[in-house]
Amino acid sequence: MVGIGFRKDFAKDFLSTTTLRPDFIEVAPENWIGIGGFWKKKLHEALEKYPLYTHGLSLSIGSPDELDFELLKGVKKFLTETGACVYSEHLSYSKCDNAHVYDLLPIPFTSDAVKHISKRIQTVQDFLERKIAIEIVSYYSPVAAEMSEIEFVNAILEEADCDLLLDVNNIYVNGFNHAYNPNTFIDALPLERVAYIHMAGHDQVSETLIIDTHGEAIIDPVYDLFEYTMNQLQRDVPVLLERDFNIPHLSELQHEMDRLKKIKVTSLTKEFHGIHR
Amino acid sequence: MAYIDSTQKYQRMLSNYTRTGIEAKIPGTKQEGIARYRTMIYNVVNDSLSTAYPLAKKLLTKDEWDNMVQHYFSSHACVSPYLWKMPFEFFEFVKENESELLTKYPFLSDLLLYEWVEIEVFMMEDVEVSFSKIGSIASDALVLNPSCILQYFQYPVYSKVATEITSSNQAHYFMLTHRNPETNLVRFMEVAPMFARMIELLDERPFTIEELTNQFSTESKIEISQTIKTNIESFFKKCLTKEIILGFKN
Repeated sequence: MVGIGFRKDFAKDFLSTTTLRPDFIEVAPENWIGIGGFWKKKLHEALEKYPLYTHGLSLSIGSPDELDFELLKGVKKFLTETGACVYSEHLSYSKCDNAHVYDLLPIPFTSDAVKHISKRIQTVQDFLERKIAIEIVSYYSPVAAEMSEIEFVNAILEEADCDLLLDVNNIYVNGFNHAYNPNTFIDALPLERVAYIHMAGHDQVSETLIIDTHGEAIIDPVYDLFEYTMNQLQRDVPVLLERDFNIPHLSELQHEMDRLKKIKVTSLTKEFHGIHR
Repeated sequence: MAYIDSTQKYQRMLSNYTRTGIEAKIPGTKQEGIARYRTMIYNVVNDSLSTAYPLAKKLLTKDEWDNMVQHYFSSHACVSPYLWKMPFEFFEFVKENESELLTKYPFLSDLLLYEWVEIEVFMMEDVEVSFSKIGSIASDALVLNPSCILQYFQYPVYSKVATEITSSNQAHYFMLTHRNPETNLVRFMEVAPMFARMIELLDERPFTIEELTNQFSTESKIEISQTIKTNIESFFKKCLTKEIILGFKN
């Protein structure tokens, strides 16, 4: 399955034509909770056609602040009402000292953060009565790290016993920004926990920095890393194409989704032939 | 070491830096990357406010707008997890904290509120109400469209270009903003104080025009003439056409 992030920017075209033909859609609950009128109608139109995956923005799972149970209640209600298949969030924080910053800040890679966040993920899973998938975010600077990124991520996945949302573009971006081999990073992840994959474009802003903008087409090296990931995974995991800005003609998004699907099918078929040779 | 003593401190320093721009010496960071967070976060907030308040932004100079946004984001803790609701906090902040700008532009607070109300009505949750399309405007209880907001203004920000508003325009204005249940489009209508009070009453429960008229007459101690009664009926007929009044109580 290959899906698309359902954006208000292209909702009307998407719903009134067959140019874009995803297997599922994804939304951020925070953008749709508590709204009615035009957009609620459009969301319902989309839900009549496509299964829903969700990707939270504001839970701030890595925050030193208390968990926002009011938000969680809203998320739980939204997941129930929409019949969402998956709820995922970011391994980052976006709220601190009771102030939302509406973006994803990097958490210090420390053992006390591992304990703190793992417990919070467990609390969220208990509250929502479902396993959640946690995304490794792109980051542009480490912050007071006491361990490596992979040690940090794996310790949380293990201790929280949650699923992994593997954003392949993020691994590429982080590999570039922090000078590590993204293939090696993927090899070191507990791939059995991968429940969901994200793919997106990015923007290189300097010789040493890539920003994860979701505003460009996916580049070939990220497709290559996706192929590598699928070869390692050998499982049919749902894949999402994220495009949040600089939206092109929908046929271009469909072309990207077709390419992702082709890579997936080829990777899985390769193994099939291997088994039977 | 406890979480509260170490990791949390650096998280607070980074978060505070992204809001205020005041540099913090956090160990093990890369300057270029950290600066990007500040820029990206400021842009998210500024874009959201610029989209919500295009008229206010157009009214102010670039420096006035930038300083106001910077003042807001660095000194106000945004409490809403929903980005689309954050601009309402901006309106409240400006009303309480931007006395210099409010002196220069006395209608700024009204302008921001006018722009916010449009967003709020467009986005507000659907509320199901029971009503019948068949009935008599003269004798049946009227059911108000729940997707509407009645707002008081001191300046006619909804009918005049902001740059043309002067202190001589200061008066009492009531605006009814509603969302059409079929088209979901938001529409504005200026209403007289008497009709504003009647709409307030209808927001509590359905009333007949006669009940509304009697209630208003009692409260205001104004005798309602036959001409005014005819005007009231015309007003509510218009409201019914515009689906501000959805119909009649079952």
